[in-house]
Amino acid sequence: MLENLASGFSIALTPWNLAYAGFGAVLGTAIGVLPGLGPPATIAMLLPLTYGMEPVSAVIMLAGIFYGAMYGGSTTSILLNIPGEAGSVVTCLDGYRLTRKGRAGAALGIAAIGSFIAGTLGVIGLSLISPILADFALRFGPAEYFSLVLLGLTMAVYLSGGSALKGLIMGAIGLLIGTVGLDPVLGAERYTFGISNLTDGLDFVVVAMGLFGIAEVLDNLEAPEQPVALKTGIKGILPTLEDWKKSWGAITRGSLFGFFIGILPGGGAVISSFVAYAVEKRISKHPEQFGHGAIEGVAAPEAANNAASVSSFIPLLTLGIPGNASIAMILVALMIHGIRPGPQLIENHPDVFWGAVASMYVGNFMLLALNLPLVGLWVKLLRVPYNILALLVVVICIVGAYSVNNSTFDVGVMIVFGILGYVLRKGGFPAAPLILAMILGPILERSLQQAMISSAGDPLIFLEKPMSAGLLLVAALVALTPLVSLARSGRAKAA
Amino acid sequence: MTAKPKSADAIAGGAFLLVGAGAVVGAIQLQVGTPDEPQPGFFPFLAGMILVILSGLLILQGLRGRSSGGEPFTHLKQPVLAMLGLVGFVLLLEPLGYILATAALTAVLLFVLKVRRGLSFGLTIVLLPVGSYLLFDRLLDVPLPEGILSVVLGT
Repeated sequence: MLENLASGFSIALTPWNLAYAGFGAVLGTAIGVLPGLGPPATIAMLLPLTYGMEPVSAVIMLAGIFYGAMYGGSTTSILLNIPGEAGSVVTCLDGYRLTRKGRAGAALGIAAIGSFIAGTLGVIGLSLISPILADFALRFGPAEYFSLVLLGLTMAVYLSGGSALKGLIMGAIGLLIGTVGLDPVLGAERYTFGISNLTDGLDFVVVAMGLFGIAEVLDNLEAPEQPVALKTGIKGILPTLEDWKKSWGAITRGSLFGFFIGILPGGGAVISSFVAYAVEKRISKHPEQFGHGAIEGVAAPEAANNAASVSSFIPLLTLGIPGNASIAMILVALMIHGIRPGPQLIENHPDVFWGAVASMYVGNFMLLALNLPLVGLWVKLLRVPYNILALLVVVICIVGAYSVNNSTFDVGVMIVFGILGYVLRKGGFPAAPLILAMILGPILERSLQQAMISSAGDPLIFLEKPMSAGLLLVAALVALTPLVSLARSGRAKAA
Repeated sequence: MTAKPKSADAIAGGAFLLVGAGAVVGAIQLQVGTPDEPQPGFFPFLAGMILVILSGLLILQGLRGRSSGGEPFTHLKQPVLAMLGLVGFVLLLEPLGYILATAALTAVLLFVLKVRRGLSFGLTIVLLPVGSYLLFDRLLDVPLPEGILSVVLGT
């Protein structure tokens, strides 16, 4: 493994890849700071830019945006009580209290150093676990792979927050959208309605830019965020010895929780940060201090969300299953270059896998070096009027969608999905399951057909193979939860 | 436009039910086949059926008065104006070209964003389309439609 990692570093440390990692980390921090723009939208907008890059460089840059956003999100949570990202919501509780007490510097310092430690531990875990998991997954046949993808999709929907039923509906719509175009096996046209532009199906990039970029702008137009200014000064970004004593355990536990929760599809930064905070509060000798400026209340969730953002690459790189919308965009970036992530990635494209892993070590270091000295700059970024941001997002999305096939049709599709995404968002329907299902749908279809053909049409194949049966059982339990809760609510109402 | 979330859920469920049913009908027309010989409609049929069932559950949930998230449309005027601007942009992109269509869209979006006069309005509707055209088309080699300006732009 060390040899592979060394070769990964030789790729990650080339000047161009260092520049891509730096660009991704800085841009990620910036969008983490800005509340009106999330990582999936930014990654979707930048996907067309990666067409001309080497696959490993594309992953290095896009991964930098993803984990950079976690760093940036904490800055505004601590200084302004505004979570730039959902994964930093819980950091507001104690982080902002510390700022009010004049200890903003310590909170920022512990968040950055905690994030660095967690990110680094996460990358070490990723390097150790991924080859083992990929090796194990190589034994999967179509039945096991079908069940695994189905479980991944179901969990991603269930854990992505909001109503599970609405998430599942979005997943089903995504599966249907994924079938538009030529049937992968027999080549028949499906749901093209005679429109030649639909023969190749709908492009993920175009749909994602609509659902995340345009929809986000439309949503923000209802009540644009007002620029805010920091009223207190920042001093002493290095934590005291006392802060360290209180925080090291929280950082370690947060890293562990974040790492393992992040591996679960849909688990990610939000859930892990809440779990880490809740655990710290429960085991603390002074739980009453939480919510009133406890430094552990910043250290634990920040460590957790960074470890989770790193470990969420594990299901993508080893199983080919993206656990959230940002990771799905990175999957698309690899697919654009003809690389299908999965158990064979490490073997067939070691440069991509180990280069990306090594770049995460480098990226984490860059973020630590960039974040603390530049904290004033990140706060100033919040003064940029939303008008400018909205116009830039719209223009970049338009050019990005057009550049996919040099076609106005794609711009139209993006705008249709933008309007649809806005309406769905208002109805409480999450967009991420739609895009995940759209990407995973063709994989699911292929595995299903292969499994059915190999078993001469006997659906029991999914239950006869123990691994497949176990995975399906868990998927069924997760998927049936909304049904059970609906039945329960009906009984409660009847009583 | 401020339907209560629970009735909004039932309406949305109804719309998705129609989409699911349409997908199932389309899948049957494509031929579903048998499990050992699946045809092009096999997978869309399954996905459509799942959507029909889930939409039915959402309707039930909505009718039982259980809302599951969602928020009312508060200031609908701004997003609707922006949507009209975006749709107009798509229609104008080929005939007018990127620069003019983007200038029109920028004017609409600035109006929505309440930047309606003055230097910043004028500068933005000129600089944003021209600047982004130069950046993407000329510098980054993303060919953008030139429309009626093709003579002026000279390509």
